[in-house]
Parts: sequence; C-alpha cells; structure tokens
Amino acid sequence: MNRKHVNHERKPMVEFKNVSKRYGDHLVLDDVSATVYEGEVVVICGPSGSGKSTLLRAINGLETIDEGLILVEGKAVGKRFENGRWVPDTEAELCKMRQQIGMVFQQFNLFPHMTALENVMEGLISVKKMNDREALAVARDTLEMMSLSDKTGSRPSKLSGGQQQRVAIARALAMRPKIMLFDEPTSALDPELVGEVLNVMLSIAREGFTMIVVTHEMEFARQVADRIFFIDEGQILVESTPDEFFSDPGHKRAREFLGRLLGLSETPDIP
Amino acid sequence: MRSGLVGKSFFEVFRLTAPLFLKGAQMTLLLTCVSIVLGVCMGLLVALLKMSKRPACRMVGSAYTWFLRGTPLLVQIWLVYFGLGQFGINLSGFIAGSIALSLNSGAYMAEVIRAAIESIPKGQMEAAKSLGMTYAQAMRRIILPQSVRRMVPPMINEFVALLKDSSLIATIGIVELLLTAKLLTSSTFMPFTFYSIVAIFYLALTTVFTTLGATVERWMAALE
Repeated sequence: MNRKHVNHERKPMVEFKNVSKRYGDHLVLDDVSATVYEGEVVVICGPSGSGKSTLLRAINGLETIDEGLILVEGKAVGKRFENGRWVPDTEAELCKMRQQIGMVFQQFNLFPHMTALENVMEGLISVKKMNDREALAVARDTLEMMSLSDKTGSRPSKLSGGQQQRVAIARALAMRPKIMLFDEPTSALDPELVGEVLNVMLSIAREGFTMIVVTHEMEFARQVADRIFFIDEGQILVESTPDEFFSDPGHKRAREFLGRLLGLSETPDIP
Repeated sequence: MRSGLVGKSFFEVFRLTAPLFLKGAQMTLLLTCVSIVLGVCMGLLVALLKMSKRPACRMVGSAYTWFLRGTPLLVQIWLVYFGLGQFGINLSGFIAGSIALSLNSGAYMAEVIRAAIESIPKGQMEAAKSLGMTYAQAMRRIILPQSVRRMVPPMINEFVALLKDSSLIATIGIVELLLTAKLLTSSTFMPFTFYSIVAIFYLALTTVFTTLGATVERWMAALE
C-alpha cells in the first residue's frame, strides 16, 4: 500500500472553522474545527448520531450550519463576504461549488427512471452542458472503470446493491470533482457486496482524489486513510493516522467505540 | 319534431334525440378536456408555490386552495361569468366556464401533484443537487418524471369528477349534456325521460374514463 505522507504545507481543500449546528436543543455539531488537505483520504468514524454524516453533508451545503464556516478551496460554502458582511450565495454559486464535490450516498440515490448510462450522463448534460456524444463517451469510460460495461443499459432496479453503488460512484466521478464525499457507502449493502465497492473506492484513492469517507469499515480505514477523525457528540475527539488510531486512539470513548466495532470489548454493547 | 316525441316509447325517444345528446356530450367533453389541461398547469404552479421555501409563496398557494375548495363551484362559475360583467368584462359562456372549471380543478390538482412530488424520496433531490443541478433542473429532469407516474391515476379520477361538475355550466347557457336535456324537457314536458337519458350519457362517459383510469393504474404499477 503506497500510503501518502501528509504534508501540511499542502493546499487545504476543506476547512471547518468552529462549525456548530443544532436541531432544536440538540447540538449536532459542537464547535468543530479541522482541515482536510488536497489529495488526502480522511475517514470519519464515530457512533451513530454523533454528527459525522451531518458534518459531511455540510461540505456541499446539503445541511446548513448555524455557526462557523466551512471553506472549500478557500471559498466559504453557501455564503460570501461582501461589503463587510456575509451574504448568502446565489443558487448558481452553490451549484458551481457542488460541481467540484462528488457525493456518494448510503442509499445510492440513483435515478430509477434512467438506465445506468443515463444516470451517469445526466450531470454531464444538464450541468456540464456536454453534448450527447461527449457525455456518452465519458459515461461509458467511467462505467468501464467501475467494471460495469455490461450493465450500461440496465435500470437501477435490475442491479445488485453493489452494482448500484458503483453506478452512483461513476455518476459522481464522471463530473471530475476535486473532492469525493462518501456517506456510509457500504452500510446498506449485503456483506458479500461490500468488497466490490471498497475496491472501487481504493482505486479512486490511488488516483489522488481528496476523499472524505464516513464509514464503519475499519479495515478500509486502516489500509486507505491518511488520517482518521473520530467524532462523538458533535465533536472531533481524535485526529490521527491509522497506525496511531488502531494502536491507541488516545481517547476513552474512541477506545470504547473501536472495541465495540472490532468485537474486542468486555463491556456488552446493549445496555 | 319535439312535440312529435310525446307518446312514443322511451327507446324511440332515445333513438330520435341521441344526435342532440351526442352534440351535448361533445361540448361536455370539450369543456372538461380544456379545463383539465389548464387545471393541471394551474395545479403544478400552485403545488410549487405550496412547496416553496418562501412563506409568501406558500401563503398565496394556500389561499388559492382555501378559496377554491371552500366555495361552491356554482358560485365560482357565476362570479366569473356574471360577476366580471360588473367591471365591463363580458366573457362568453364557454370562456367563462372554462376559466372557472380550470381554476377549480387547479386547486384539486395541486394536492394531487404535491402528494406525488412529496412521495419521491428526499435522496433524489439531494443526489440531483450534489451533481450541481439547480432546483428547476432537478424538478424537471429528476423529480417530475418520476412523480408523473404517480399522478396520472388520481388525475383521471379528477377528470371524471370534473366531467360531472361541468354540468353546472348549463346554468350559464352552454348547451352541453345537461342543458340539452333541460331544453328538450321544457318543450315536451317529459322530464323523467330526458333526465334519464342524460344520466345514461353521463354514466357511459364516466364508465369509459373510470375503466381507462383503472387500466392506466395497473399499467403504471407494472412500470415501477
């Protein structure tokens, strides 16, 4: 495994600056600050309800934040500073930013009324304004990369979960984003289908994409991640390399989480 | 001819007056079709207003359905036909009738359309947005094509309801099915005969469209 060494002089791709969000009284994100650098693969893990998906979804503005700032390549998400105050971005600006950020969802969210090929072509045509011929070529190539050349004409309902998720990855990747976000990409899959999706993600990581992955797949984190963020109760409690994290995460709750996940814990997980 | 109908058997009267009723049915169908098409357009607009993020838009949408569902269709027809006359706007019966029926069915269509759009999983809009699509693009390319399938069966039900409601247009002098019956009655004094015949015509039309609706519903279900 050719692990890249994190060089902090590299360009920051995503910066969280004192980000907070609440749902009513519940603080989902509690003053989160962190930086993800260009080309880095960051795995975010933590117990369910810890705020990890919310943090990920805030990067492309699918979730709004109440306080703080998220910068993507130095540009604030969803707002800009103008004449001494913050004003909300227009829809066009938000769309432009989202083109740079690919997203893969737990439930795949493929468009069921389109074939695999059409799913991948959709963004190329309606957002990137490619003509049909160009879009077709790009979509074919991307699906081929995902080993799905024989499934281009299939509707999502005719594909296995693993195939659907690979089409979804192709759909995001075909847009040539600078950042790829994965929101529990294997959690909805049958265990025997997880491997094919992780393999595809591994090959994307090798291409040098900046990737932020929310997942419980600790083996993937160990092999692919440059850094691991452990989140609990809306705070990033641990930021460390996989080696450090798996030998000793250095925080009680992270240790408990790992223990539960790896099945090593003495304490039962159901109270 | 009309006085010659007195004393003839029901079937004989039916046979002799059928061409008049067929013309009336044509008018009924024309009114219903025009109104359903405009009603769907109006309904889409109102549904989008009601789902808007802006409170002002939502209020306009709600006020629309509140008024049109909360007042009798007959009052709405008279408001457009007679009411606007007070301001010097004299619409023909057909135009006024179509406007009133369209506005009214728009309020019901809005609910049908909104329910269908809201039945599409949230992840579809999120996936479209994450690709960089605008709200309008996502609606047009992703959400509406999927929800149309779920809209069509209830829309056919609305069509059948509107077909019956269009009989109220008789009150502003459009010779559709009901007014045909009424005119024949007044010249022959055979109300039971002619209102029975008109009921048969309505029944034939609604049966055809209800059956069509059921077929389309099965067909759509198979498609999903």
